Amino acid sequence: MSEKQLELYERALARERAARKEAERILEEKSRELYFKSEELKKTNQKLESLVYTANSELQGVFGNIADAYVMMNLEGVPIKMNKVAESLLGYTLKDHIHLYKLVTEEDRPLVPQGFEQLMQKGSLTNFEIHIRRACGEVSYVQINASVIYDRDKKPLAAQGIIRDITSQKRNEQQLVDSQNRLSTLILNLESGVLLEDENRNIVITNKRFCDFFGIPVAPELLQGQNCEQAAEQSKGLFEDPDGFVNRINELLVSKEQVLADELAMRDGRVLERDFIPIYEEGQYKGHLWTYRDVTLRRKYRESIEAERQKYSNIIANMNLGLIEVNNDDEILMVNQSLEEMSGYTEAELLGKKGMDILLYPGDRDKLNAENESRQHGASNSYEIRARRKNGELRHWLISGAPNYNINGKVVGSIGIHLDITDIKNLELQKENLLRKLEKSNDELQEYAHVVSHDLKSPLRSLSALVDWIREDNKEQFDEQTLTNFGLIDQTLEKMEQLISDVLNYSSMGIESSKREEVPVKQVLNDIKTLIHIPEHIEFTYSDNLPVLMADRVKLQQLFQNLIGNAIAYCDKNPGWVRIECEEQQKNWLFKVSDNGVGIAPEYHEKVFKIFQSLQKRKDSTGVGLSIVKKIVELYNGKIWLESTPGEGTTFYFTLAK
Amino acid sequence: MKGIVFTEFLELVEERYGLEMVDHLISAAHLPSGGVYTAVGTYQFSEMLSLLGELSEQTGVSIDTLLEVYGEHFFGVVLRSYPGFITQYTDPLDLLASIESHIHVEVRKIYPDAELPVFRVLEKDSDKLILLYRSSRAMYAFGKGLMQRTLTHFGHQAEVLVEKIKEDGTEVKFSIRVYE
Repeated sequence: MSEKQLELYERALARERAARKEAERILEEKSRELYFKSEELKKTNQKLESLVYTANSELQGVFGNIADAYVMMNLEGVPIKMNKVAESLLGYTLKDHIHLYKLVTEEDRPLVPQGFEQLMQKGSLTNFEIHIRRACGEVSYVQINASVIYDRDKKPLAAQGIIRDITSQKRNEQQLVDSQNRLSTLILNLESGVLLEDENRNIVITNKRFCDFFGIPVAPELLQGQNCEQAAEQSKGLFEDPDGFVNRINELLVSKEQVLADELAMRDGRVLERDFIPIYEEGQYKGHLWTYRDVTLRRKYRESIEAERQKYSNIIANMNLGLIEVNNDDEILMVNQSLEEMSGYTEAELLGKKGMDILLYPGDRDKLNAENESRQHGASNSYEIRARRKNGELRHWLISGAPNYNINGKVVGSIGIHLDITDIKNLELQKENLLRKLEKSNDELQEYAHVVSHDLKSPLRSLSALVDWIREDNKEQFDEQTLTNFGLIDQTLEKMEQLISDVLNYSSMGIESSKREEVPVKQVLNDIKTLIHIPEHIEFTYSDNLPVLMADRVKLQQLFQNLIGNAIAYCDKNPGWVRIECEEQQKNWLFKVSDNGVGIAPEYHEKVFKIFQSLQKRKDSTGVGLSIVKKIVELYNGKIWLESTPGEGTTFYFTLAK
Repeated sequence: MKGIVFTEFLELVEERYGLEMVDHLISAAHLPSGGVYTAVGTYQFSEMLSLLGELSEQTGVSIDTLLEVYGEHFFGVVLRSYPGFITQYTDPLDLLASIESHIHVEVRKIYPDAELPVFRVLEKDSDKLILLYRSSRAMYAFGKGLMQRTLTHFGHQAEVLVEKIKEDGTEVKFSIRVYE
């Protein structure tokens, strides 16, 4: 190797050595750098670890104190961690080793796989709502928000989540939905057609009625969201005044002010009433509500009421009765034409005046005040007053007044119907006078009958005495024939006296005796038994149920005595009988007087009760008896009739009011 | 400039022209480092320029050609020391297009202070790639050598067209076309 080559290698070697040392130095430096770096990293790591720890414990604190239930579970659904809220919500603790999926109610269980799948695929599950059965058995509606926890290799390890009890929230929501539904149903079924539009004139809600009114052939639900800009134009043909309809709607939409009860005449004769109600929310225009009502009927009703009113006004104006309406101060509010004629005043002269001042005869003021007073308390009344016509003439008016009420039922005055009864009144006065005269002449007549019968009797008695004396004085001279004639005179005189007594009785029968007392019929009959002669061959009987009557004893006796006397007088049988029976009816006593005497032919059944009718000319019959009987029965509001079979007997029936 | 560029350069000079040429270059170039280079060290770029200038003078080969040859040589270094860069690609255009986004990222892990050129992809097709090179060192010829070797390594007939955007070579457009 040459010297030059050697030098060359030495230089190269020196360069290589220096390069090696340089490299070693660089490496040492790098290694030191690395050491410091790793020290620094260690420190940073520690810091980070403690930070993680703090964060972890903070998180734990958060989960522990969180208001919601926090649960961490493994992938099988068994909880690994639970906070207190979760324990109290579920009613279980970790020790129970419950399986969360099994808490889900039977009905909701099919939802669990879906939820789990979503959780696994997306890594999280939001607002998952499900029903669970808590330890106490109660079912709660819960909302779950969960996320998956992964390890470093992105492998799912567990899942954690927040469980919120939304049972009451759901219930409230349900109630809200229910009440919304109810409202909607209410709106849908309203009698009024309703159309609610938002600020852009899109339909928010409408109902069946509205569709009916406008002949829209679809269900109201389908109209929701439809725009109404062209609606008026489309349906204007339904209205009598199409352009007016459209213009009015545009006007309302521009003014945005509430307008109620616009009347719209439709072509088919119906009348609609429309309300426009704009809706503002905090001063912001939010839309408007149209309401349509069919007022055709109401309208017709109103028209018919108007017609009725017209009719009654005509009747009032034209009737023959005077009518006055007054207020509570007696001021005249209304009079009709008849009253104008009756009073002689015109309506203008009467209105606003007090009837009491202008029409009433001053003497009747107190009377009218009393009547008005009673009407104030709601009573209708009728009364007579004396009125003074405009010309001063005094007239009698019959007033029928009734209080007048307002719609609140308060008395606001009265209405009086006035009838001029002056002419009737005069007639009545005439009648009264006539009656008085009649009474007087009746009395005079009765007195006259008394006097006459009394005056007739005394010459009769004188005659009887004289005949007696003549007979006594000439007893020896008179032959048999003369004596018989004298006997006949006696008998005739006796009959004459009887006749006069009967006539007197009859005439005095008209005067009803005010004397009324308790009269036992049985006693009356016993008295009669002793008074009249009952032959041996006639049996007189009466039933036990005879009543006690309120009557004049003498009249009652006359009644029975006449009937019994007749029965005995006209008895042609041996043995004969007379029987008296009684039957109680609702308002009367029915008496029966039966005998087995000669009987009365049917043609005489009416006649017998007439005065001076005697069927057989008997010496002791005056023909007055049965007419007296009839008069007495009628006096006691009774009736008398008879049933008879000639030759077999007669039954008299008569009733006496109880 | 990283030491590996100097050490590999001097190794190539020694391989081609002998140790004597290496010794001559170092002594003639009056280098601040005295020609003592280690791959993990960092040295001034001017030393590389002095070495290249001296070699060109001694051999009569232009600096660009020298750099191109050195680039071709350097592909061997990469293949030997960092085969992962190469083997994970099946297409050379994919590899070249990812110099910036992949290879330089890996280089910085080993040499954090390396000053690397910019290779921006202007256009890429299945058979065509246009790259914009930018570097204050203006060593595009070194890049061209590297590219050519890369293309031949994958067994492709290819053409690498160099177009200077800036006259000083600090900005250059590479148009690479591959023939099947």
